[in-house]
Amino acid sequence: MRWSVLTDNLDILLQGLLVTLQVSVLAWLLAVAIGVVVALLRVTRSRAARFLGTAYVEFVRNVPLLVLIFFLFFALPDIGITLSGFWAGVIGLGVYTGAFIGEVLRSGILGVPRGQLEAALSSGLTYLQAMRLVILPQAIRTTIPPLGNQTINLIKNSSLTAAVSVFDILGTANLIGSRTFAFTPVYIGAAMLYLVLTIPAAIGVNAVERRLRIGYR
Amino acid sequence: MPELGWLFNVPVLRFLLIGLGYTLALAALSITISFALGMLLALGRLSRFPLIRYPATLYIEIIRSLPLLLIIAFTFFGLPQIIGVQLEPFQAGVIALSGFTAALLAEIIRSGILSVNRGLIEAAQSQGFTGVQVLGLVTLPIALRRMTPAIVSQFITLLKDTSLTAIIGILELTRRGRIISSQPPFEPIPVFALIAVIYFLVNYGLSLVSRGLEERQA
Repeated sequence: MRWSVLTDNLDILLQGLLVTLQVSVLAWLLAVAIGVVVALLRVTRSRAARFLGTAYVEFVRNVPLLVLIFFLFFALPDIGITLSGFWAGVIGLGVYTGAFIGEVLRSGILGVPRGQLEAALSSGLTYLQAMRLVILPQAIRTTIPPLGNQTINLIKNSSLTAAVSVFDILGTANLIGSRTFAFTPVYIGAAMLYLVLTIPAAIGVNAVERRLRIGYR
Repeated sequence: MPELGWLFNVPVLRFLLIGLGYTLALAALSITISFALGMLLALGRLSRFPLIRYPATLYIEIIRSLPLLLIIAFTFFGLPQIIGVQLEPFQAGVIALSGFTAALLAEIIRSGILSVNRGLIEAAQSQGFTGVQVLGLVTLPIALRRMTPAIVSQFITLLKDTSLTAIIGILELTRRGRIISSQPPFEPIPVFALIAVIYFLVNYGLSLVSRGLEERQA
């Protein structure tokens, strides 16, 4: 096996790592924003809002991410919205992960005893104030471990941008592989780069999980 | 409202439905293989013997931390260079999906096994059951029933994941959608919308079944 293919192409592989990070960070921000909105929609008293939130979550969770990204990349130009592979990937990942993060936050919100919302409302806070100042800070605490797992999934899923010709880690590996035919070493190198991102993240999530468990005792 | 007769006609719909058939076949085959493999990995990770426990743990943790698309690309392009046998896309797809899902199922199975009341296992042991008998007659039947909802939702994930095999040329639903959308009249929006709805209907139906199972257990 020609392992030299990794050292020869180290610069563009690291460039790919940077792109993976960029896609992941941007998509994560979008996913959290969507997740907060969806979670709030799903716990309000308005039936229309609840329906909207539920419909979003159920639809997005049951459709493959690749189909969402393909839709953004190949179909939207038809109505005059042309996205680069990078942005189709970021938006697709954000929209997809947003549904999962919304569910995580919703169960966090529902985990805060109902009496607290009533107390906050009765002391004169508006619904949004009560959410922002009382419920969400507590909900976020209990949701950090599952949120971390969604983040790891997002990093792994960012590899789908390679399917719309983004040169992230996987896209770069595909390119080097098809140029040199040294597929095996190149994919093993790419795997190492992904592990560098996901394994510390997983260890971090576990550590936070243990910390929080002690805090609740 | 645009004219959609070109999409909703028998040849095009049949072309897409055959793709759905491939999607379902990939998922069904892979869940079966990955269940068997996942069971072995879970038991391996719970084993007393370090020589079994460490490799099983290592496999689970590494595979879980990698993107599935990378594993699919590796299986199709890289693995043949190691084993010296060219793989058909469908074979590579099943191997990659099974190998990946096995690592996830192993963790579901392991936590199912660990959730079984210790006292039940000790009671069975005290009645003279051997280790294998305890596992087969007491631990696994209880654990399996508890894991069923989690396994169904893993199956839904797997069904969505089969779409990734489109990149190695398997003519499953997503790939066929791409083909239809890049042919005249070149209207990808209704095609991808239809594909999304097909996935949604299959997966949402499955998730309703899963919820039904959960409620029956509660």
